[in-house]
Amino acid sequence: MDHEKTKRLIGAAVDGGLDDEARMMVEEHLASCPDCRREYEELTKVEEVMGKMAFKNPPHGIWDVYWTSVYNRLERGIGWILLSLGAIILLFFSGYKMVEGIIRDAAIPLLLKVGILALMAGVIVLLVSIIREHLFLKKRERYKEIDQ
Amino acid sequence: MAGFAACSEQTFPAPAGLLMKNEESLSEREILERVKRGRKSAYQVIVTRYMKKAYFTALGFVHNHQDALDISQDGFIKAFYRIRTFDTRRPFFPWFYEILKNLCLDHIRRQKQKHEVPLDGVRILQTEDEDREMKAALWKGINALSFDQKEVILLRYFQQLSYQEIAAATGKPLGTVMSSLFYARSRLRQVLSHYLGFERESGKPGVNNGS
Repeated sequence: MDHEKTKRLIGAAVDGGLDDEARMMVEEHLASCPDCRREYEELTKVEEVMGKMAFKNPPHGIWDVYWTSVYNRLERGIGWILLSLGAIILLFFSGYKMVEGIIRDAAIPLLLKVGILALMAGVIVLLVSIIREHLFLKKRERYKEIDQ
Repeated sequence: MAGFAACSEQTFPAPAGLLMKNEESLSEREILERVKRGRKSAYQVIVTRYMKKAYFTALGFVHNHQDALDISQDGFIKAFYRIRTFDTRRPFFPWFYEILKNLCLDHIRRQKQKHEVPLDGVRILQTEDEDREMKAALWKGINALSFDQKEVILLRYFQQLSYQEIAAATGKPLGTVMSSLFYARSRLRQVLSHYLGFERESGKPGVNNGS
């Protein structure tokens, strides 16, 4: 088997990632190539160390409440959508009432009326979005205070 | 709003082990079909099945327990809202992994924008007194790898995924996955050479070429 190709397969051979045919070809090459043999042996040691790498388990009991937390946040997501939608509708309605006189005035050009309504809608959507983001980020920041 | 209709069928969280028992006996595809129809009890089975994998995947990227917990849960929430776009003939985890990875990358990007110093992460590892120094060096080495190399190392060694599963999760060809692992292992072999008593600096050619 080609030397360079074998070198690329040695790592996979070490961690059992090769099929039988490829593994046998690598083994054949290893028997006749001291350089690759040494690499194989070193990678076997590396593999042993890598096999012992693991993350610490999270605090006790976290899995018991994991789904409940996801569920609650799912519900809260819908709440946020409805809250935002309601706030936008109410604010837009209030804003419309404030400029209703201008909108109904036949002497004012249509383009100006459209501009006023678009400006108002934009300001309201941005306002609601910023408030929501602010509240959301504030909630996120609280997590930072929890001891890791 | 796509997920709104999906959320309206069941009002309260399913009591653990009650509604889930029926769903658990189904195949993943059948469970996911139910999730698509808005069954939260079915989604509970999926979340319970993948929560540890999701948490530890996120932990590998963000190095922080609370952020990993938060992001993994965000991932499930986002996946629920997007479940209508999911093809149930395909396995769930690779699709979910894409969502989760993007959330982790967003988090890391935000950290960088805020100039927050990322945690070194060694304290999230299981260590013993005798191997702490070597594992710390190895973890540092893993985090010095390119993102693609780090990703395959995390999936291979911390999630115990097969090469095929890594290819499916990352959307990369099998050959690319093997190549990334090859370069990553070469780098980590160099990192460990001092601790494992290797005779020479090994893996010289091409070591820095992989990405």
